[in-house]
Amino acid sequence: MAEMTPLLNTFLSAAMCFLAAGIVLCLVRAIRGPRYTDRIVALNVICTLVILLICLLSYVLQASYLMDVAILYGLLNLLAVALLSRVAIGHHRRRKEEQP
Amino acid sequence: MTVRIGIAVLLIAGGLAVIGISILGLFRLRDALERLHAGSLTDTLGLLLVLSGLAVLCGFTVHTMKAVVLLSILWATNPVSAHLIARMELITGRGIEVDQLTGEGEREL
Repeated sequence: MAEMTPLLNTFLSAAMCFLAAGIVLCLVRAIRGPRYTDRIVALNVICTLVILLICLLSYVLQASYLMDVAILYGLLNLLAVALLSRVAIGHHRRRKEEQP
Repeated sequence: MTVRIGIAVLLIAGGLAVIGISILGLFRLRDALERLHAGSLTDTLGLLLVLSGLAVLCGFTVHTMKAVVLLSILWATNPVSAHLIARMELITGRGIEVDQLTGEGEREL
């Protein structure tokens, strides 16, 4: 396993730079998004890009424990989105009951 | 082993192309639901291509097993979170109460 030619190292570095640029672009989308759901969608994409970045980094560093970090990051993403949707829907319903 | 590296580079480059299309869609589409449609592309196809490229690079090791576990977990959880975001947009943005729809289901949360 774990062959690493200089060309492959360059390619993986370029791929990680591409993912970082994608994260910055999604951050721009999250700042510009007119509604908060747009921001949450951009945040979801940022989470997936960070997971891919961690996976590529774990191959470059030859450290397979970084994949465990990526798994936990994905699970935390689902938890955050579920809690946010529950809180937002509950808040909206309470506000609608107060002033019909 | 240059053939294996070539296949892996092709797979990872395809995944990066899919991610680029997805981010382009995040900027070009107009609505939150359409942006969700574009963003889900990264969660499924981009993830599959990049992780399969990594698996081809690593061979049959613990690293590949962890990549398979990561792929199965994320394929189970990311559509669920996309569903929750779409539901939140429908209820709070469009004023559609899912309790009053005529179909079965959609009664919880």
